[in-house]
Order: sequence, then C-alpha cells, then structure tokens
Amino acid sequence: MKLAYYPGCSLDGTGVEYGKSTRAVFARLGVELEDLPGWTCCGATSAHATSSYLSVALPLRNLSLAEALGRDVLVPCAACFNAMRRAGAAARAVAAGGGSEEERHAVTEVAATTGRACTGKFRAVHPLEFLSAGDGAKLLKEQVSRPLEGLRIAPYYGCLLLRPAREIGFDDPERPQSMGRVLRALGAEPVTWSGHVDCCGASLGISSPDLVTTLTVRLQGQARRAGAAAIVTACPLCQTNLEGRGGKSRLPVFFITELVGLALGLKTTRSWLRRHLVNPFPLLRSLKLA
Amino acid sequence: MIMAPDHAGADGTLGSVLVVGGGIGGMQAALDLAAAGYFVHLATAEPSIGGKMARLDKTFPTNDCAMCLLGPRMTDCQNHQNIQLHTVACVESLAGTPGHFSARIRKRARYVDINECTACGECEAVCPVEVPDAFNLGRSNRKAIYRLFPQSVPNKYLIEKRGTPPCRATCPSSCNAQGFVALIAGGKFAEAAEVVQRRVPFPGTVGRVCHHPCESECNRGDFDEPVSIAALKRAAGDFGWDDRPLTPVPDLTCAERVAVIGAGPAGLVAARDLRLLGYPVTLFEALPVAGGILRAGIPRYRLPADIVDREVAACLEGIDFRPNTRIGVDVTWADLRRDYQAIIIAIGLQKSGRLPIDSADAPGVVYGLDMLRETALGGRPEVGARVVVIGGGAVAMDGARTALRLGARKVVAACVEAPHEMPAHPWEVDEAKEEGIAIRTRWGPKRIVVKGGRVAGVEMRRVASAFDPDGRFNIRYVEGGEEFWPADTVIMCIGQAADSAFLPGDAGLKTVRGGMLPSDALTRATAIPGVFSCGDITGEPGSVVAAISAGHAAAVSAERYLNGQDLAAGREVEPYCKLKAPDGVKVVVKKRARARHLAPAAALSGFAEVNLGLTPEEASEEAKRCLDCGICSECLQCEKKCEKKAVHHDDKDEVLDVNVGAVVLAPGFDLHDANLEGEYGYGIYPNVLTSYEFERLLSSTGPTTGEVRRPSDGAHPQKVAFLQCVGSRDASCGAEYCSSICCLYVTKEAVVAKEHDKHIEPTVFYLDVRAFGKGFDRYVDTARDVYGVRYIRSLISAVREDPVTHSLAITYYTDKARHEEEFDLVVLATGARPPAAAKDLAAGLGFELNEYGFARTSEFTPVRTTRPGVYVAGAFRGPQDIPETVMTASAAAGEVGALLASGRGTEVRVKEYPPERDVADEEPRVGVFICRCGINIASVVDVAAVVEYALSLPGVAHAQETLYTCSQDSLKGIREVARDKGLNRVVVASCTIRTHQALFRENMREAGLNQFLFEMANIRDQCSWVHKDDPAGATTKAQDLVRMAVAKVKRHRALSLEAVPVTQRALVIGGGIAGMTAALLLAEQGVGTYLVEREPALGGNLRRLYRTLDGGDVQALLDGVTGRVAADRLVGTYLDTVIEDVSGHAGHFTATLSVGGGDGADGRRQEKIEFGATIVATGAGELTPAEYLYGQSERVVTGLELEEMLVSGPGRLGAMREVAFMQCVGSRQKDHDYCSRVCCAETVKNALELKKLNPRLRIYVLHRDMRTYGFMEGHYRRAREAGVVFIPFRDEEPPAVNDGRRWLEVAARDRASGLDLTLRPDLLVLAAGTIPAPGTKELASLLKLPTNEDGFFLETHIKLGPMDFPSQGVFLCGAAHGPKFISEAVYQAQGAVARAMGILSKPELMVGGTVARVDKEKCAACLTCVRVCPFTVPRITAEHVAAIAAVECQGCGTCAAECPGRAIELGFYEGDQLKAKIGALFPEAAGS
Repeated sequence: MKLAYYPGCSLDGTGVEYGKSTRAVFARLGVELEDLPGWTCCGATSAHATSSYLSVALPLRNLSLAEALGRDVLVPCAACFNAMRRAGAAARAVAAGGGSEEERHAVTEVAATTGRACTGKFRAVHPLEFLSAGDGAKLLKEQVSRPLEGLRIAPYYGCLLLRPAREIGFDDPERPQSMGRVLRALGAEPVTWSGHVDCCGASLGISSPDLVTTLTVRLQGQARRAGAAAIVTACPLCQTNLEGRGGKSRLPVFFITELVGLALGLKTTRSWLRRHLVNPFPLLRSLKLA
Repeated sequence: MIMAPDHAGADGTLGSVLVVGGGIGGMQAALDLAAAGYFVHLATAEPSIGGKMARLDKTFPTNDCAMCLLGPRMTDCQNHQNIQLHTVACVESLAGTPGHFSARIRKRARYVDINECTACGECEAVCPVEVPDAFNLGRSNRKAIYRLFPQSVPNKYLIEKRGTPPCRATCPSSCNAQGFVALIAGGKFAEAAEVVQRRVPFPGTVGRVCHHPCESECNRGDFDEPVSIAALKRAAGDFGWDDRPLTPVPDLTCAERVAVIGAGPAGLVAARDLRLLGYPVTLFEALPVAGGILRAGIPRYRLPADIVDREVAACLEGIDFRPNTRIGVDVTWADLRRDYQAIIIAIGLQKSGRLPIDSADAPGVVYGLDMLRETALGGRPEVGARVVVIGGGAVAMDGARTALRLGARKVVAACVEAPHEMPAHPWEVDEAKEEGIAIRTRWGPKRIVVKGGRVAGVEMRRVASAFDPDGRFNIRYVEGGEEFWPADTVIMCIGQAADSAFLPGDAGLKTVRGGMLPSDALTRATAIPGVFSCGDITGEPGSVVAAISAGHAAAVSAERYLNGQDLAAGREVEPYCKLKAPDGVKVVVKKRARARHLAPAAALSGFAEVNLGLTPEEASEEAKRCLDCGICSECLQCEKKCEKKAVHHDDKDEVLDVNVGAVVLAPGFDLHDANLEGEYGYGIYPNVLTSYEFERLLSSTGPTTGEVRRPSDGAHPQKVAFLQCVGSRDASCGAEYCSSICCLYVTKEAVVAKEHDKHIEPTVFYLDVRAFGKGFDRYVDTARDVYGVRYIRSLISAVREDPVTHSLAITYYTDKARHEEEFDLVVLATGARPPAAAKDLAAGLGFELNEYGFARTSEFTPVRTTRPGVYVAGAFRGPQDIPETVMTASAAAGEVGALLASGRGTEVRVKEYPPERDVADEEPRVGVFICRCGINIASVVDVAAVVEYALSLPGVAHAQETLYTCSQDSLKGIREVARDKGLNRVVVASCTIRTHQALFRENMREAGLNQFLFEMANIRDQCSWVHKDDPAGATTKAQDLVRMAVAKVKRHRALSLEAVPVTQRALVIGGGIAGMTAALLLAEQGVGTYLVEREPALGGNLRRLYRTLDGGDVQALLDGVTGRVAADRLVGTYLDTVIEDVSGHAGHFTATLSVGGGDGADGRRQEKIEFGATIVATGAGELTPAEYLYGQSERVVTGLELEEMLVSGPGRLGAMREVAFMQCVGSRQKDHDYCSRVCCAETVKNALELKKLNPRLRIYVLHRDMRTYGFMEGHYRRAREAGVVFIPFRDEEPPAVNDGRRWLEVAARDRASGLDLTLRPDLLVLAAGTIPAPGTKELASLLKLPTNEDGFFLETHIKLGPMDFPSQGVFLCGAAHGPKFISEAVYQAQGAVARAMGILSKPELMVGGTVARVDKEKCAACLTCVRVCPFTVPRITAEHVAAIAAVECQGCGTCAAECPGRAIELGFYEGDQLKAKIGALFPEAAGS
C-alpha cells in the first residue's frame, strides 16, 4: 500500500517527533509514504484569517500535487489536515458545478498556475483516520507486539481535527471514538472525560498566553481527575500547548503515532520521546513499557 | 323541519374498520367505532395495547396516574366483542377503494398461544436469557419470554427471537451454544448439559476436544474476545452430569432392525437417535470399548477415560452393543445384509498413513495412531530417549506429547509445511511447544537411517515449499538441504487411512482413495439403498462435531428409508447469513476466562489431564459475557415448565387479509435519539438521562420502583437539571418543529420528582415555556411558585462531567452574566419524531408524509390522509398531547362513521344466549370453583382444603378445583355442572374482577343464568401473592374469602337490563365552524340535527378571519360550509335562537327553543324539539383590551382589526415605517390566567403579511414566550428570517406605551440583553386574549354543565374525556372548550360527533344492573344524593323525591353510601348483601 505524504511545517519543527513517528509507524505497517514533491505551506491559520481565497488556494495547490501522484495524501498535522480536507471539499463542490465564488476562483487559479486541475478526487487522510478503521485498523491489530497494558490515557482531539463535521467527517465532532479505538487496539485504556474536544487555545499562545494557560491548565487538571496518567493528541500545536503551558505538574502528552510505535515495539521510539517537554519515561518505566 | 334520513343503500359498503396502533389514540378510535356499530380490527406492532401512555408515570396537568386512567380503557378494548386485537402485527398493504378495502396484516409469531397462556409467569422465572427491557428504556432487564408490562392487555406472554445465533449456526452439529451458555450463566449446569445433549450426547468429551468453530464466529469477539464456548460445554458436562438417562429410552416399537458398525462418535449418535425412535439397534465395535477415537485415540491427558466412558455408557442405553466384534471376521457382511434392514457404516480411519521411504518398518519406527491407541487403552509402548515425530497435524502433536510422557527426553516434531500451513490447530502447536517439544517446520524425511537393526535417526530434507501456487500439496525440496537427525524412535504421523477390507468385492459399495466410503453429503446414503456411511470413513475433512452431525443425518435417512420416505426432501441447508450482535448492545470489556493448567512438571509426569477447566463460578461468570445474539436461546426451559403447554417454539408468522371499509392510523410517535446529541454526553455520562427514562424512574413499575436514584451510584440526587428542546426546534437534526409536549411533561416530571423526594431541586433550562393548553399555565405557575421549580431561560450547549463524582456542570447565561453550576442529574427533554414505521406504512398503504415524516393532512380536513378512506389520529399527525390524540381519534371515528354510514351494524357480532332461568323462588344452590392458577395459587394455598371447606358451607351444592378457571374447558365445565346440579349461584375464587369478571358473567349468561348471580373471591392477588411466606395463613384467608363470597352471592338477585329507546336526532348548540362541522357530519351519518345559533348568521369567529398561518382561505371555507349546511336536508338551522329549557336524559332530551325572526326582539316564537344527544359548540370571544391606550389612540388596534386592515388593502399600512406587536394582552394575567393559544401564531401570520406588503417595514414583537408549537415553529423561523425582531420581556416588567405626536412610544426591557429599548411604532397591535363566549354561564346552568375557573366548559377529564361531560349524552367541542385554531375546532367537532354516535347509532340503550335505585317511600328529599353525586345524576322530581335515571347512573355507589335514610340501594352491592358478606367475615360478631 502506498500513500502520498504531506509533512507540513511543524512536523519538521515543534512536532518533529510526530513526523518521525508517523513515518516509522507507517513503514512498519507496510504502508509506503511518498512525500509530495515541492509541497508548500497549507496556509495555516494566517491564510484563513486574512484571505478566504488563499485559505482555499494554498492547500488546494498541495492537493493538486497529490492528484498528480494519483494517491490520497497522509496529513498528520491537524491544522494542515483541516485546511486540505476543506479545500478538497471545495474542489469537489466546484467540480460538481457549485462552490462559492472564492472557491471557484481558487480552483481556476491553481489550475492555471500549476497547470494541473484539482478535482478533489484524492483526499487528505489523517493518520488517526487511517489507523482507526478499515485496512489500517486491521494492519495495526496484526502488528501490535507490546500491548500498552496499564496505560490509562486521555484521548484529546482538540478543535481542528474533527470540525467542521461536514467537511472533515471521519468522526463525530462531539463524541469522537476513533482515538479510543486505536488506543484499545494498542492495549491501552482510554478514559472518558469531558475535555476531549475542547480548545487548547491554539495559536493564541503567542498573542494571549494567559488565556491559553487557563485553558491548558484546566485540560490537564480534568485529564488527571479522570484518572489518566497521560494525554494523547494528534495535533502538534495541542501537544506544544498542553505540555508547555499545562501548569506545574503536567501529565506527559503523547502523539498517537508515538504510542503506536511503542506498541509495535519500534526501537526508535525512545529517540522521539526524549524530545518531550514533560519526561514520559518515569511513567512508561512504572508500567514496564520502556 | 328535518327530513327523514335517506334509507341506507345496499351498496355493499363494509361495516368494519382497521385501526392501526394500540396507544390511547388507537383505543379511542376503536372504542368509538365499536360503540357506533362497526367491527374493528385493532392492530398494534407491540405485544400489548397501551402505547406510550402505559410508560408514563403521571399525566399533566392533573398529575393523575397514567396507568389508572389507561387500565380501564385497555380492558374495555379487550372485552368489547366488536374489537378484535391483533398484537405484534403490522399492516403491510392496502388495496381497494374507500368502503371496500382489503388490508394485509402480518402478525409476528409470539411463540405463546394467547388463548392458552394464563400469565402465571412460570416461564419467565425459568428463562435464562436476560436482555435490556425496552419498556424501561434498557434501564432494567427482562427475560426473552416476557410481558410488555405487568398490566399488559392482552395479559399474555411472548418470546422475542432474532434468529439463529452464529455459534449455533456454525456448529456442524447445530449444538445450541447460546442455550447452554445462558443456562450456565444462571448456574443451571444440569439443564445446560441437557441442552447440549440434544445434539451432542457427550458434553464433557466434546467440550474438551472440539475445535470450536463457534468461537471464531462469536460476536463477542468484535468487542474483546469470543465467549469460551467449548470450555463452557465442558463445564456443562462436568458439573451438570446426571447419571440418569436424559431422554428415557422408549420401548422398541419398530420391527426393522438397524446395524451400526463402529462405536465412534458418528456411530454412537446414529445408533442412539434410531434407538430413541424405537428401533432395535445393534452396534458393532472391533475394540473392547465404545467411543472410537474419543476413547482409543485422543490421549488421556487431553481427555480422561472416565469422562468418555460415562458419557458413552449413557449413549449406549438400550442398544445391543457388541464389542470385540469385527465385521468380516466375527460377523460377515452377508449376515448383516440378511439380519438388518438398514446398515450404517461408521468405522472411522484406523490405519496410519505410510511413506514410501526406506526402512519405514524398521524397529524403532512406530505409527502414531497405533501408539496412541495402545496408550489410550492402558498400554505403555516403548519409546527411546530421542524421538523424532514426522507430521504437523493433531496426531503428530498428540504423538509427540505422548512420547514425552512415555519417557522420551528430547522430542522433535518435523513437518513439511510452513508454520501457518500446519494442519494442527494453533493451540495444539502452542501446547506442544510449552511442554518442550521442538517444532521444526519445512523439513521432510528422506530416509530412515538404521544402525544395528534399530533406528538411529532420520535423514531430513529442507523443504522449499509444500504447496504449489494453486494450493495443491506438492513438495519442493531445497537442493542440498539435507541434515541427519539422530533418533531412537521415529513416530510417523502423516495421515490416516481407512480399513474397509471387511467389505466383500461384490458388496456393491465403491471405495475410493484407499478404502474411503463416500456418501451423499446431505443424506449420508451410499450406492446401496439402506446402507449409509458417516464419520471419517466418508473421507470428508473430519472433526468430532462433524462426525456427530453426520451420525444424526444418517439416522434421519435410515428412518426415512425404513418408512419408504424420500431421503432428501426438506433437508436443504439454508445459506449461512451471520446474525450480528443485538443493536445497541452495551459491552463492558472483559477478557474471557482462562482455565488453569497443570504445571508442566506435573503434566509430564503422567497422563493426568492438563487442562483443569473452569470452576462452576468461573464458568457462570464467563457465560455472562454472552451477548444473547438470538435473544431467545431456544433452550426450551419455558416449554417444559408451562403446564398449559402454551409455548410453541416453532410458531410461524401469520399473514391475514381483512376486508375493511376504512383505516384509521394511530401508530403514535417516537422520541428523538439522544445519542445523536453528543454535546450532552448521553450514553457516556451515566447521570444524563432522557426525559422518558426519567419518567420510568418515577414510575412505580419502573426500574427503581419509583425512587429517584442516580444511575452512577444509586444516590438520591438533589439538583436535577432539565434541558429543553433536545432534538426539537433544531433544523440541524431534521426537526425544526416544536415537539409541543416537552415543556409540560418536564414540568410534570419536575413536580412529581419533588413529590417523590422533597430534597430534589429541579431546574428547567428552556427557550420558551409553551404552556398553551387548557390549565397549563396555571400548572407551570404552581410548579414554579408552590413546588419551587426553577425556570431559567437559556439554551445549553454542552454538559461536562466531573469524572470522579459523575456530577454534571452546566454553563448558562442569564441576567447578563455567565454562570457555571453543578447538577447531580441531567434530564434531556427529547423531542417527538415520526414513528419508525411511518415510511413503511406510507409506502404500504399509499398515503403521503409531510416534510418532517409525519402523515400529511390539510388544515381544514385535519384527520384525513392523502388517501381517501385512510384517516390519521394522534401524534402521527404531528407532535401532540393526549387530549388532542383522543380528539383526533374520535374525529377519525366520526369521519369513518360518515364514510361507512350504510355499512353500520352489518358486521357487528351479536351473541345469542339461551333463555334465562328464573331462580327467584329457588333455594340458593351455590357452585364454588377454586382456581389453582397453575401453581400461582396452588403453590401457596392448599386448594383441596379450600374446596373441602367450601363444601361444608351452607347453600353450597358443588365445589371443585380447576387448573385455570378462565380456560375455555373450565368455563364449559362450569356450564355443565350448573346444568347437571341445578346450580343457581356461582362463586369463582381466583384472581381479580378487574380482568376476569366480564368473562365469568358472560359464562353465566351462556349457562342460562342471570349474570348478576355471580361473585368472585380474589385468592391470588390478595392472598397467594401477598402471603407467599405463610401458606397456612393464606389457606385460612382463602377460606375466609370464599365464605364471604358465598354469603353474599346467596343474597344476590337477578338484575335485568331494560331497553330505553333512543331518539335518533341531535341538537348542536352554536353555529360556528365547530357546530357546523358537527351538524354536517351527523347529517352525513343519517342523523337529523337541529343547529341552533344565537346570532342571526352562521360562521361565528370565522367571519372575522381571512387567512390562516398556513395560508388557508378562511372565507372560502366559511362559504363552503354554510352552503352545505343550507343545502343539507337533515340539518335544521335555527338562527337568532336561544334555548329556554332542556330536560331528559341520554337517548331522549326535550328542549324549548325561542326562535327570533332574525330582526330583533319582536316576533319570537317557541318551538319544542326532541333529540337523543346534545353537542355544545358555543365558541369563544375576543377580549376588549383595557390597557395600552386601546380605544384611546387609533394607533392601537387588536390582531383581528389588523387582519381586517390587511384584507381591505394597504391603506395607511403602506405608509408606515414601524409596527409593534404586543403579546399576551389579557392573557396569562390576573383574572385571565390562561394562554389564549392562538395569538402568537396570529401575530406571526400578520407580521409576515406586513413584511410581504412592505419588506422595509420595521416590525417588533414584544412577547413573554413565543408559543408557535408544532409545525408552526417553521413560520416563526420564517418571520425571524424576514427581519421581524422578537423581543422577550419579563412578566413583571411589561412594556409601557405612550402616545406621541408623530408616533407611539413603547418602552420595554429586553430580557435577553437586559437593555432598555424605546420603540416608536406607527401602529401597535395588541394580541387580545380569548374569553368564553357571552352566554356561556347561562347555558351551562341551563344544561347543568360545569365550567372551569376561566368560564370555559369543563369536560369530564382533561386528558381522556375532552369531549364528554359528566352528564351522559352531552358533548363538547370547539372554542367553548378553550381557545383553539380552526383545525383544532374541526377535529374536536368531528370527535364529538363520534362520541354522540355511540348513543345515536343505537335504537335503544340497555340500562340497569349495577345502578342506584331510590325507594320513594324512604326518600326525604334531603338533597344529599344530589350534592354528592360526582356525575350530577340525581334530581328531585315533582313528587318531591329523588330520582336517579338508570341511563345516567355510573354505579359508583356514593349516593347509596351517603343517603341518611338508606333510601338508595346500589344493585349488586345492596345493603343486605354487603352485611352478609361482612357478617361472614366475623361470624362470631354476626352471631352475637
């Protein structure tokens, strides 16, 4: 099996362990990842805030690269995934003769500048989406060799991964189950808690750090109260905020792919976990997982 | 004046009706139709009638017990001879035309004969399967055999089945896994063993060695791990074994003899099956013991000999078993053919396969099967220290492990296959490895190396691949990959071969592949008729369960052959379609039980069993993991237990075609699935419930028997939050409509919760309180002011849970601030949805649904669907409350009555009874029948002692016990005894008069005795059930009760019912839309009607209305209806007429009318009319506002005035820039403490009209709650979208209005934002309230009808009697009942007609029996009876004595009890009868 791959900027930066673990895990599962040749910024929150045209055109350009490869594209960063998934929906709407004026404009412009039309036929796929259902779930079930027994962990989806539901649509935005399914397949114990789809403060960490701290401290506290020993997320910004600003005694925050790597017995797992702001090794050692 | 009715034409119009839905709507329609002379088929998809109301605890706004209201209704339906109930039935299609339909009803099998079931409950007690009880919304469990609820009607059991569960479906021998697992879950091992043995006679054996394909299919595996079915089967065998033969072996009843060759599993099963059928069976076995591979193959450490022996021995019961008998040696084939009429060959595969390699027979080479057989039979074959086992199958693994136990030190097993290709099951390989066996895959033997005449080792070759790409066995070796493996012993385990040498060459049986005897896969027949083969000898891939299956198949064929029947007919195997786990099953992850094993050292020291199995406790726990995929497991415990033999597991669905003239649909509604509202955490947070679940929590028949407890910890909650509009007024979930009922049911639940537990503090979060019904506002006010229910206007967007305490935090905004508050319990007020069956019904019956999925109706024909002849009632029209449901149900009955008028009475059942024997002069001869009620009574009360006691009582001529007195044979018996012994009184001591008196009275009539010469003693509900622990006391009490009944019945006298003729004409008072609709519908049914209107013109309020909110043309409606009234020869219209005097009773009234000339006071004349029923439809009026400058400024108008302005053209409206509407003017205020119901919609309608006229016009609506209930919510949204601004104000902060020079000034405080606003409208429109019509009070006093505190007429019961009055024969409809829309007035009028037709359709009314009679001599006219009668029946006559009209008396007995002069007696409960009864209870007191 082969997928196109879109790293995005944070997976080479703050979320480098997310990127590395994703690549390693997919390699072990036998899914070949092919980097989009000449990928560019997805537009992130800046494009979205400044120009609705750019917020479609930038991810659309990357999606057109995937279309040229003829493959769905794996996008681990929740923000990139969100942008590209919405751009894909826009492209399909335009291809079907609909879409807003800006969307039509973006589709035409991208086609004109890249020389490739983007129809949205190939989609952005999130690692969580892939691992939680269908072939991915099957591959995962077969390959788990070191079950994460005893790990009580709070699944945290944040805001971007599942909303807006109509465009993202791989899980219920209010009551998501996909991370729980993956965690159970890994042998871990997901806890039920109320914070799982709340906002971590996102990029306001730069402009209003206090606000973000309020939110992350609350989330860390809720997860702890729910009996979790750690939090797991699928978004580099959430991970940074929750580990970086979560108050004095913080639970470690894993990327979902890191836990998969751990359960698959990948040797490189330690090298990713060493990069965390909250040292996860005491916890893992106490459970005899590291 | 009124013409005679047209004679009903004999046009073949059918006189029967199909009513779909057994809720309150369906029951009401059925009862009205049956009363009016139609035969009714009442079909409900549920096992009982009762519908949603049966699940309610209380009803608003009176807090009546729902079940108490419903119970009598249900009993009426069941006992009515012209209503036939069809339960668990759905209507699939409808053909034909109005008056002549044919409907197809599919009745699902109940698996319990409802004519035989007595609801004793014994079956339920033994049923091992517990499933979530849908009646309690899964908050409690019920059994697979169940009643819907304790008061079910019919009160009969049924079984829920989903199909064959996958475990059973995949078992080759069809062993009922779910059945025995369920029984083990309840600790019933013996019963479980019996279930296994129906198909698998060796539970302990097969449980140990089965390869359990069932477990791979087990649905539980999708959640965590499959149930350990095989281990449980073993447990059934081990702990449930009973040495008695399970099925008694019958006598030999057949002459034909059967020979079975081979006592392995296949042969044993075939022999046993045939023996149980009564055939003499001889079973030949070459070995000294029976059991075949089980006894002489599988090693003892896996399968102990004693287990096999005892199970095989049980199997051999009654069979002529010949051990040590070899066919072809001891007995010849020819002997067999001569002596036996059928032969079954089941000799298995006894020879080991051989390899064509060198030295394969050298000393030290042993063959696996031989070695295993020798070991199993007690020998100890010699084995060297180093052993090589050749083979990768089960025999190889067994051989290797046996070798270890025989003394080998190092055992290596070699197989040519790759690990995943090995024929042994993975667990067999794992167990071998655990014992230290080295398994080397992809190695094959080249030759055996012999040194010194003994084996020295094997030369092995590396295998490249064992199979070719097509999967055929085809070994390729690696060039040069040879190795020498030293060995003292080589065990060859490379396949098995047949030994069919006993068959002579001329036997006619063809063998294949070295002796295999194949047979037909279905019938097991060979080429010779009468000879069958089964088990491994057929050459098919084998397993113990497959062999057992083949054994059963061979036995069936042999029997068929011997009886000359076709072998194959009806035995086709249905394709396997896996049954999934039940929907919505909730699974708590739990790993499967693991059996303990012997420690390896201990295991290897001998042949003790390695797997120690589960303990009984572990087995029961493990069995509880079963998901009960089939629901009913068909374990047949219920069938065994039922003494009436009422359980029939093989029942089939039944399809019924009924011919009916019309159809009434009342399938009710469903509730929104709260699982779809993830933000509230329903289904995840244990303390978030739906309102429906909370209702069950409040109910005494609910999961907590009425105690309010939190699901998470069972604690009593203090703070309870109710969230309104969950799945209502929400376009995102497909329901932008308002569900109409939630505001009030939540208020009720809050109040009732508070009544159950005064510590509860309810808070309701709402958008608008829509208390638009009669008495609703007052109810909400009471909830708030008296009960302290807190109402907070705020939409809640999320609920958060504290994971430790499971309490729930809610954030809301009010008073300009954000609040966060914690609650113990959150209740979601889930909205109404169309019933699940809506789409199928619409498709099958050919009518349309509206955009929301409810039945489409139109405004002025509110109970008609789009298909003529098909009517709709209740919440299937759209969300509505119980009174509306009752009204629309009666309305549908009224419409049907008109459609089928010519078929009326043609299909009703009239029963003929023998003439009644006059027993007045006879001495009492009482027959007493004591019911055992199965064991319901008999297990506690000594019934025989009660019978003996009864016989000792004076006057008792006969006494006996009956198993079930209510069964048809017992009833017949009573009639016969009555005839033979000349009985003239009957007492039945059994259950309750509530359910059974009607049945027994009916039986009296059939016996030619007066039905009132009967009495019941309740020795079940009031005796055996409540005194379970005191049998002696219960028996004494039963004797007391019988003695009392006998004492009373001896004083009974025959009471006769007398016929009172009915004047088949009606009076309708009021000529508005309700009155005209009623008059026309009566006329359509052939009933002449006087329509009396006090105004000089017909039309009432309709004359001032032009458009409805839905766009209906009111004036066109008015013209149409008045035209039809004028043209109808059966309607006599009296305008400018008032009623001066009314007298009479139901069936015959007389009234004096004062008729004007239509031009004023002069020239009035009097006219006397006679009629059988009255319909009051006097309507309502508009209040003239006294506030907000009305009448002082011409800028202030009422809604009706604005409507007239709108109709008369733009005029000054066109020039306006701003218009304000003021709601609740004269409504919901002091002196008018009720909602006028129509004004919100009226305002929305006018606002939209104004916007249409001038889109730039600014429109503000000042309101308290917008009450656009039901589908009107869509118009409210359109108004907001059109730019109409709705400003809520607080009740205590009403806006102030001042007139200015250029415009009005309206000052208001917006309660949402708290801001003070000043509006400057050109026009202020007042939504003036609705008030009772002038003259209501006078009319009420004239007709002796009650009114409520607001001056509207008061019906008998606000829920179930919305068109009835306590006085019989008078009915209510339209705005005289309370404020109403046109459509509502129309259906209530139609309903009132249906109610009236219950009287008018009959030529006479039968009255009497249990009614009060006045003894004129004793009456002092003290008026006590007049005052106490709840139905205002007693009158004081001109003779100055009280008179109680039998036709009106309800038989409650209040007057008889209260009468100070004892002048009143209530029939059947007369003073001397009751005194005798009480005297019998206290004989010593009576004697003194």
